Amino acid sequence: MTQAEATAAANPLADRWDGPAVDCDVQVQVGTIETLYPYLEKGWVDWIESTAFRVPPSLAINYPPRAGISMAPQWIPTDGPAAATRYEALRDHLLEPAGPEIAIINPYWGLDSLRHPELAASLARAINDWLIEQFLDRDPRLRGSVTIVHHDPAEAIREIERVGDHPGFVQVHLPVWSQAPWGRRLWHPLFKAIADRGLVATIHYGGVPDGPPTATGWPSYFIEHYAAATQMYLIQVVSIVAEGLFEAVPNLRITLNDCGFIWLPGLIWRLDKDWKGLRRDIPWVQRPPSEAIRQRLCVTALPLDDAPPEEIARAIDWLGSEAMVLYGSGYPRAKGEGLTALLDGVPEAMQSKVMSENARRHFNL
Amino acid sequence: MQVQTQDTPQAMAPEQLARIDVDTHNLIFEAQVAPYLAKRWQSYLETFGLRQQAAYGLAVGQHPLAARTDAWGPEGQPPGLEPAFFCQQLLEEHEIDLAILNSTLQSSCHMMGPGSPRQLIADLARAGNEYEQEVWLDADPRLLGAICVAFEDSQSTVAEIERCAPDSRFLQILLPFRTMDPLGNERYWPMFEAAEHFDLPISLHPAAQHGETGSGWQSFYFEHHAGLPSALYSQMASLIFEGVFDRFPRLQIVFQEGGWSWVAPFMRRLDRSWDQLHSEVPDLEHRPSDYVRRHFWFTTQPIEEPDRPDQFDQLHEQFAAAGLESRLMFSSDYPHWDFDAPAFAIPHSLSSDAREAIFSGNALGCYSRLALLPGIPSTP
Repeated sequence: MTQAEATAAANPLADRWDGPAVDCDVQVQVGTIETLYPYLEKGWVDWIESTAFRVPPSLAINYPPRAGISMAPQWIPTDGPAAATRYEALRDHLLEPAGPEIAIINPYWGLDSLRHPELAASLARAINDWLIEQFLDRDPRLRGSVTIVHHDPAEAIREIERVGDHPGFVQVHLPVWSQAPWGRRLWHPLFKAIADRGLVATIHYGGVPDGPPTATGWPSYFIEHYAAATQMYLIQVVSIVAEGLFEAVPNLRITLNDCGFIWLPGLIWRLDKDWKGLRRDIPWVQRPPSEAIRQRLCVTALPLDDAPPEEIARAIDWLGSEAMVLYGSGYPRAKGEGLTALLDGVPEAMQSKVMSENARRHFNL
Repeated sequence: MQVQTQDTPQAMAPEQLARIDVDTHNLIFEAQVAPYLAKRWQSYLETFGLRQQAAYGLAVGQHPLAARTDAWGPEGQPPGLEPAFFCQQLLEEHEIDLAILNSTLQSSCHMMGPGSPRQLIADLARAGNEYEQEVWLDADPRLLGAICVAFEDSQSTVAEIERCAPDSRFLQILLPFRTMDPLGNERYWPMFEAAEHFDLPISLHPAAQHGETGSGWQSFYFEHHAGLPSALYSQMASLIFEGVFDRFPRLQIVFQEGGWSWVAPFMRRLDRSWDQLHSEVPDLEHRPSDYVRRHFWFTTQPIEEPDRPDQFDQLHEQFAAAGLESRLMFSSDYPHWDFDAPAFAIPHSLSSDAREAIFSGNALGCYSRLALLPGIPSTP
């Protein structure tokens, strides 16, 4: 097999879907700190050069360098820079010859784990400017996520105001391990800034909280941390519902990204049940939580965790909405085999919604 | 150690065991345990008092003592304080044959969790267990117990398990959902060794305790209640991947009140994660989902309530297809506000075999020590 053939075969859509597609989870990477030097103030470049800082710790905490979830085998380069660090590689791997009409980039570099507020804010500005210049302005098929450092919400809002109106940005990237659950009142101004610019708040795997990353201490092995990451998505949805974020920011839309969805119907049912029993505790939630969730929250379908087609179909039925599920390849971390299983499970009449229409509506593309 | 069977006044015939309720709550607070404490800690309570710091994370509860409003006794006695009223309101009214008491001593983690002197916590556990034996288990043969332990302290935990285990009316060891380290951590292994030795499942039950999430506190009781399953994801992954079940192949874990609709999807995620990351835990002997089927049990209350009734049957089908049909046990959570009445909580659309398994057969499988009690059939 030639390199070109290998690339074509590895394209997540190849031979699986030839209709319109919006890929909601493409994980472009900064690569090395030098990538950002042209976009940083000179003082910061000197400062970085004189320190030991090269990469935020969150990256290796959540994506151990050689772990199977960090890079799919077909994208590990034999030499040269890692996949998805350069536009040309992204184009050749993902967009051509038969790629998605639109690909939404999640450029997670772990900035939330940098506690130095000024350094982190400067790097966020640099990443956004790098993404605009190197990706968004070079290809009309690409859309991006605004990188912010959420532990300084006022600065995060300033950054959203600075770049949020660029037509390439469609969402703000939020790590699922936040400094406090995302529904909490301290974040409401941040979500208002996101929604006011027509952006979507997208919660993605990653992040480093101040304390242990579970309610029950520090896991010993990464596989415990990774496999049980669903626990944090669950906590975020519960917090968002309970604190009344949907009511406080009525035009807000939210994505859960990179967590799969077959676990979600059970949570929606539990929320509705507890709302019936405990709504006196959260009187600002005037309707069963499932209503706002189904209207304003979307979830990327992958990973499917090898669920058989009938289980996927049933989980979609249980969600109670055909508008919630989005396609996201997870390139270059995911192996790409999930799409076949997804299409086998999604009823034919709903496939174009999952592959493109739901995303177009959700992100107003 | 030899486990002794107890003489009970009324031996029960197997056909009477139609309903076993594996999660009920008797009230054991400071006033109840104080007379049973060592003098040193009685004096501590009299001159100083218990701090509440381990409960800082819990939001304001929505019901006094989390209880049904009708669960106070005729003279206003708090819910779960008096065995006679408890037996009348739960066992007689709902035709329940056996009930496992998960005492509030363990649910009040300001008494049992970290944040107090280690010896005080250990003595509270011992005193509470003695109170439970005398006031509750002796009162009615249908009442069965759970051993409270100072679970962060292996030495006293093992000693207390060894002290209580000869009383076969104790069926399990009671822990809160959240421990200071994930439960698979080796520092809890002495407890597992003792639990396995005495055929005592480790049962995790919600409690008022520290740290509700992996990213800070929650604000509302609603959030605490709706989010309960989250800690169980972490505990299940930890127990499996840290190799607890390879070292203790007969150990059984019960997850109480945390739901069960999440388990079958999570088994898929555990397996897929292991397929991608198994090099990190190369010594694991089985697929992760196999450990779930062999070592975990779940309770029904609060029962899952899908949008449509037929979806409950689908949910149960999914659970059964994952190999978990025999692992689901009826619980009422009496006397708490979200009590599930056995006549209504488990949908009649399930087959009679499935209902029978949930109401009694599965509990007989989980709690093998039931066979030590007179009149109880041995595990099928």
